[in-house]
Amino acid sequence: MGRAAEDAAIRAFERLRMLPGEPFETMASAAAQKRLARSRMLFNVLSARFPATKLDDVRVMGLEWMEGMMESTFAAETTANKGVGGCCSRILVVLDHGAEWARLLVDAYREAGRLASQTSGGSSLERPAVTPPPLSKAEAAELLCKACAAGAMESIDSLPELAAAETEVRDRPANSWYPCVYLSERPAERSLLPPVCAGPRG
Amino acid sequence: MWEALCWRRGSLRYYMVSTCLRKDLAQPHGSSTQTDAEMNTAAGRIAREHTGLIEEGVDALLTLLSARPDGCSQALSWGIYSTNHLLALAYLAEFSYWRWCSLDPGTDGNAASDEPARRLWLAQTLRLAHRYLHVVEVLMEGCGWTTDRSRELVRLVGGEAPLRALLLREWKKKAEVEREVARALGAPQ
Repeated sequence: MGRAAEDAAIRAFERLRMLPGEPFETMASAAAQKRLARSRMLFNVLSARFPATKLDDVRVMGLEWMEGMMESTFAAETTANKGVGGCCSRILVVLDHGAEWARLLVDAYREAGRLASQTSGGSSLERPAVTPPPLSKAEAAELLCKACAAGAMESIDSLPELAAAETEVRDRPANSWYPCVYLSERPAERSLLPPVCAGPRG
Repeated sequence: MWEALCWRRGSLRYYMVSTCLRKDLAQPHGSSTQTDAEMNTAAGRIAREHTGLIEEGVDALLTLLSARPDGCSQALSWGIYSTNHLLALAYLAEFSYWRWCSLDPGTDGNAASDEPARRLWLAQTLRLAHRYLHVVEVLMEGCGWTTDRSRELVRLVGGEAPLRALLLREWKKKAEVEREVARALGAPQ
């Protein structure tokens, strides 16, 4: 079994160590600073000895860093909330990199066969029913038009209203494959559907 | 740990955007009361400058609410496992409202092609604000949390008609929907 994802997680940890975390660390408790120091020590060992290493040690390295980082940035964030400092953006950089690294660790566990694949349910990254929001028929029609125009029907699989419609559309003869017509109840609407994006976006 | 990280990433962004909005929307003493449309436009003008933070915050908080498999109760199936999760739901409704405002067609730079996205953000605002109302006032009745802002959000994005349409799509049963709309839009409990 390959270990490329585990290797990537170890190498990516180098970037976490280089983040501008020192200003926050000075505000952290001795216990948090000890955790951060332990994570760095583990990194030195893992990066020097890979592949003669254990995946669980990569996880411990990450957890130690996360806990130390969360505590030290929380102290800084509390200060920022009181209007003393303007360091929120720098804290966000650290937190976001932590989240990205956590995803690499998940990849490494999947690669090792110790975590179910993302599509099998129960993944921490799956969305609840709040997203994507249910669509009206008109919204579904607009999205289908956009997906057809982009030639990316597979991108709408996550929208339950569209998935059912798409199946029916695919089963139709090619010369009658007009999703807009299929979904629009009134003929007058057919040419008025605007090109749109596929959901809330920036 | 993962949920704590998601919470911190979302709530800090909420703090940053709400601070900017509060500062810029603060009315001087003696100024006239704004209409809902004026409030939406004013919020949208400021929110447009923070669309990145808003969408990243939405992503982080949605990830928080989806971090565990569905539970058997209504609140758990909506991802509400603690007071932090409930607060995340309130923040998500506010984030969605700001993003909806930022696509206001009356604001410079917004195009007609933004309208479908605007409708989806509106639906998301309604859904999340109503879920918060329902959890606090029905599922956790008497918990003491305030619902004034969520009720205001429902009103700001259109009130009764869009809420009824949304609930009819999701709940299906007309009688239940009518009772819920009357309850949700009535006086705070």
